Amino acid sequence: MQTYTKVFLCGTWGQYYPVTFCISSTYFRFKRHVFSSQCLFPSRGEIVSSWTNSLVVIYWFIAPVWDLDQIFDESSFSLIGESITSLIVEYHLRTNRTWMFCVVGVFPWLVRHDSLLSPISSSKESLVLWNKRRNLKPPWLWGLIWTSYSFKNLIWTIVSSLRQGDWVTSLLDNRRKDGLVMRRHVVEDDEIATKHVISCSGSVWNGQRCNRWIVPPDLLSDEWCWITMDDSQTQDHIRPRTTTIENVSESVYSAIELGSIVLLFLYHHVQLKNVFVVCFYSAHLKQHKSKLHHLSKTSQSLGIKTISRSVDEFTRERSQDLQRVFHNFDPSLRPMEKAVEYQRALTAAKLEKIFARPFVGAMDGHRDGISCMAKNPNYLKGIFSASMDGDIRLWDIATRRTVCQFPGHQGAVRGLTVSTDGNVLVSCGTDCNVRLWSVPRPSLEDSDLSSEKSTEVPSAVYTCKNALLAVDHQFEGDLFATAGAQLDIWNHNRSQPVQSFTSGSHSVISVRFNPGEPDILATSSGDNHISIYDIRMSSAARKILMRTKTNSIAWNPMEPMNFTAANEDGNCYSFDGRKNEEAKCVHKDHVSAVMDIDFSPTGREFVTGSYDRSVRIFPYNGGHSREIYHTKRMQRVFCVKYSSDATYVISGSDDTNLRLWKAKASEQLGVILPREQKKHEYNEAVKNRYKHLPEIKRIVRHRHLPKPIYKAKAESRAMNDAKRRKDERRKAHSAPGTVVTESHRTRRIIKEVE
Amino acid sequence: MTMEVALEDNNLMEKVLPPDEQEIDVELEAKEKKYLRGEGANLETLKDKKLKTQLASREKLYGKSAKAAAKIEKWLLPASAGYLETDGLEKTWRVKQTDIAKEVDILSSRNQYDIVLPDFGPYKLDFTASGRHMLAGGRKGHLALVDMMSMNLIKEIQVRETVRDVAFLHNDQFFAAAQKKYSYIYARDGTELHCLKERGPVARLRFLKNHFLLASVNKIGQLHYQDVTYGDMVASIRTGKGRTDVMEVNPYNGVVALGHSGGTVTMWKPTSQAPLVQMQCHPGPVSSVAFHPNGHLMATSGKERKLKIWDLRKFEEVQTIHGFHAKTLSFSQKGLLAAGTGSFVQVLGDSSGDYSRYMSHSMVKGYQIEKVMFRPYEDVLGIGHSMGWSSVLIPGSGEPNFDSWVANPFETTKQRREKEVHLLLDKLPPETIMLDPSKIGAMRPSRRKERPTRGEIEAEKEVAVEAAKGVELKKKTKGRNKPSKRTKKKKELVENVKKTFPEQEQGAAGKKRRIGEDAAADLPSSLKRFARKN
Repeated sequence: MQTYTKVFLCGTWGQYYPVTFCISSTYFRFKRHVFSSQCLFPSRGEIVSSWTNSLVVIYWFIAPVWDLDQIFDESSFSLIGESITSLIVEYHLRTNRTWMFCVVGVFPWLVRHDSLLSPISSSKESLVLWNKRRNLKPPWLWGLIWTSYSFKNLIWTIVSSLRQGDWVTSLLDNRRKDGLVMRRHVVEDDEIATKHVISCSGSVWNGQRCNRWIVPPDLLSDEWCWITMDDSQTQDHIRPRTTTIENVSESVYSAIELGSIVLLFLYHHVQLKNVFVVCFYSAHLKQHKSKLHHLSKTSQSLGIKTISRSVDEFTRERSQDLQRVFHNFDPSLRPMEKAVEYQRALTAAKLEKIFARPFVGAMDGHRDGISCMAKNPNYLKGIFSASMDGDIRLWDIATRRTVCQFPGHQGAVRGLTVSTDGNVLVSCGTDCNVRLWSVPRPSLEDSDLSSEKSTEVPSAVYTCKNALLAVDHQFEGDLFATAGAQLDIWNHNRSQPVQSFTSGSHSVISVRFNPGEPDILATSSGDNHISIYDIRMSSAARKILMRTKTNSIAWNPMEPMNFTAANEDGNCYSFDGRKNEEAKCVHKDHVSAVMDIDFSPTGREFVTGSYDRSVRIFPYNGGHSREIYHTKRMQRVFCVKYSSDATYVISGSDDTNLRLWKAKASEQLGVILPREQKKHEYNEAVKNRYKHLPEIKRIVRHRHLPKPIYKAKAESRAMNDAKRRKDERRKAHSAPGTVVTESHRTRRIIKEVE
Repeated sequence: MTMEVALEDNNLMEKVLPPDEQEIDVELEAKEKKYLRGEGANLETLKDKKLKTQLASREKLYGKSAKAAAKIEKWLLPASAGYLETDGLEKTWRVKQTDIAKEVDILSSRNQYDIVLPDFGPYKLDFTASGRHMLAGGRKGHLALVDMMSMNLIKEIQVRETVRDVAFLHNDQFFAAAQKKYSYIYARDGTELHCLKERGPVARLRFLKNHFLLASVNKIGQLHYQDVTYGDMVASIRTGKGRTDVMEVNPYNGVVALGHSGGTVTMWKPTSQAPLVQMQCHPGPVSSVAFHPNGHLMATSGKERKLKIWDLRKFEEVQTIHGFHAKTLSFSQKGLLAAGTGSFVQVLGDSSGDYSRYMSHSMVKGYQIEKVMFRPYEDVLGIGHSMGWSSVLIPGSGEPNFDSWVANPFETTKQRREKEVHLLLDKLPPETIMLDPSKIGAMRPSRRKERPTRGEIEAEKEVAVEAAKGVELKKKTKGRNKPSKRTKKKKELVENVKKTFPEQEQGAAGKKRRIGEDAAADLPSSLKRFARKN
């Protein structure tokens, strides 16, 4: 296809008018630039753009207008205003063969650029008076166009004067500066500019014929009209080429719709076979307006527009560019779009299943069942674990290796916690000892901590009377609490607890500080109580008596008044710490005691480990788990942790292994490209949209369960159903109001003490 | 007082937008409606608060995206649709192709041509979805694949037997041709890939793009659906309506319509052996059928020189155009209807609701038009006729703005390959072909049994009783045939019938009558003590 350059300029005589300037060429390596009017009106003589690197120089300046009535004299001319619009365009092709240079304006004499072949330094200085050099008196006085371009070492010049009805074409050989060839067409004084253009172009174009001028109908309606010209050398099957100038001018569509007076039009063919410059200019639009109008009427009797797309506009210019993308969101272009979307949702649901590979790896090293774990709040990759034989290890999650060991405990370690600053590890166990360890810090050069396994010695050992079952460190403080026969509050630097709380004869099983209020902690005890303590007071602030024991408690880090309790009956209960008479939500799915619970740092999910050898992830407000993780080798899960970046889940189980799971089973790990990310988001969205439809619901919800869990679930379902039926019948056959069905949220709570 | 009035006036003035903006708002609203794709859900009836808020936020999101799409359509689309306008007395259908040629630009005027191939015609045409490629199949065995943008002949082959129809598969790489005995699938370079023997001598071929099904009707009126991805014959249906060569696919829902010699148009889906719809459209044979791209309008033409437009939502005739027998019909993307007969093409437009003359084109006398088809995304009508094929300009027929992800005329090889993969991933199962495709992905409404009203039950009962009374009793042996016995038997029958209809509760709308409320008085004395004491 043809590639060409269009330079288009229009303005109004005598005043500043918006000017559109446009270059479009693949050859010149830039697209269409449409400048706003502001940028085209700089102060006088200023250079607007200089793309010498990108091969094109454009100068724009406003030259002074000289007093036209004055007879020209070399020394005496005066400026009457800034009315001359001038444009210099210079193209430096890579071949260094072509320069174009155009000036449009009104001059009482001709000006020309002297240094065509050298870069233009300053436009004003480079303008010299034509007749000064040539000593020629200009034959025209008003309405001149002077155009010059060089092609094949020739400088072509078009000069016109409307006032005198002359079009002068001069051909100047650059080599022979004295040789001046002029061709002249005499035209009527008040003829319309477009015709001049054509006849001018026809004559200039070295024997080539101008085929036709096309005004894209799009632009006819605009205030500014663009003229493009089609090369006559292209094959035109339909129409014979116009042979005579007269024919050509007839087929011209009026460019008068423009409403502009000064119009410069350059046409440049990229193959450099026919460099072609056309200018036209009409200085007396007002006088001609009626005629122009009439002309436009006659030539526009049919309003026709058809779709026509040039390849240039819809394809990329260079192979390095991105492909151009066009959008049309019309629904009628996409038949059956809903069915297609549903199909995509189905595919997305299936793909999610296919890519669900949650198990990342196991961390093997302990010699007994894992009893507890602690996250390092300071270091994402580190996790502490302790086992029943008294072994404490620090793991590097990325390499899944032991970094450091903390030997010392004689019996099982039951509690492990790290201070908020990540410096002190506190452990306690059945040997009645509380040990404080200093945590090794990862150095910069050894960032993965895995160069060699080291052992640490405790920085302090505190002994108390009873076996200890749990420990937790205060947020933002240096207190920690241990749970055993009583609840003790310790300071790092004191060998005796600073405070103790006793309640009844049963031991305290678990303790967890509130992440929002540093002085508040929640405990659970063997007598089925969940208690909330304020350590500034002497006894428990609130107590809930449940029907079964609570094994562990986790506060929601985002809503720190809420906590969730992992219960022995296989359910988790979410409570609002301020309102304990009923649970906010009961999370059911485990078939055996829930041993440990940990919230995601986002607060939207929590992970539980259960005695039924499975790990489940629940939404914080949903009654059922969204995920179950299990392997054949994983035994009773005693402790679980959500990683601090909410992407992994770590479980510790009786089979002496820590296991690392992805929090989202089908999530793609590693760096994701933006397009991939978008695709994932789209899939998520369509799945979400059609999640209620049975087919998709079934696929998304399905999880393979180990046989024991499956059986136990069926059994418990049967039992629950039977119980429900029995209750219903009892209710139906009793006097109304005597039998009250308790909701799930209060059923397991016996009483609540303020 | 006057001050207040003035203030109020000022307030009013502030609210009223300038006329330009108002106009734009109205226009945008109309466009938004299109992108909302129907009414939103009625959330007022919902009782579940959580669901209500979720759905409300979803609806809000839909509204936002529709607004954005409307704005994009208003301001950002690169091209506007073509048009043909005449002033005053001039009529659009008097405008000749030569007149158009004078006015349009060179690129467009290149689309006016006649290819004269007198030896192999009449020609069938098919365009790819993007309108980039054209396939021409001459009756005498000439198959030609043409790139319409560069006007290059990509491949032409001579199969040396009758070609009855041609169809592109999902892109320009494959096409199918219905030949004398079997149909074949060819690759772009003319290699024969498959011979589809199962379907017999095929009269018409159509490809269902979303489903990757190649539908065909053969000479004995059997409709076949074959999945072109793995070659499975999805359905083979005996229409039982005899031989036909009128077949069209509704692009809106993938339903195939067949026109029969009895004047009926039947619509089919691959998953049922019976037609979805049978319409008596014409008294005589149906000569051609075409579907509007929005799927709501169908045009049929009969041999009795009538052209009818049907509304497929109500299955009602919308318009009849007399005195015109169209051998072939085609709807454009913008809804123009081209009808070809003999050597004359009439293009109808629906400028004022009804279809009326928009443009016409006469070919050289003696050319017999076989097929007209609008080129997608262009203002071009392709005409296949007995002397080759032609192309004329019909301004305003094509969609001016294509979507690169739907059908891209400037598609590169890489894009085509990627598109193919995506098409295959989004391939719809044959079950999704149904009359109302918007039902896919929707929940089935709960099927609560409607209880018949009392009047209906009464009526039914009466009918049943009457039927029982009218039963002729058999003549029995002596002694059992006495009139008394016969009347008794009849009574029994009637009673039995009555028993099958449960007694309606008398009284206030089936409410259980509580013992003692107001009827304590008419209770038997033994029960009176159970009556509630007021």
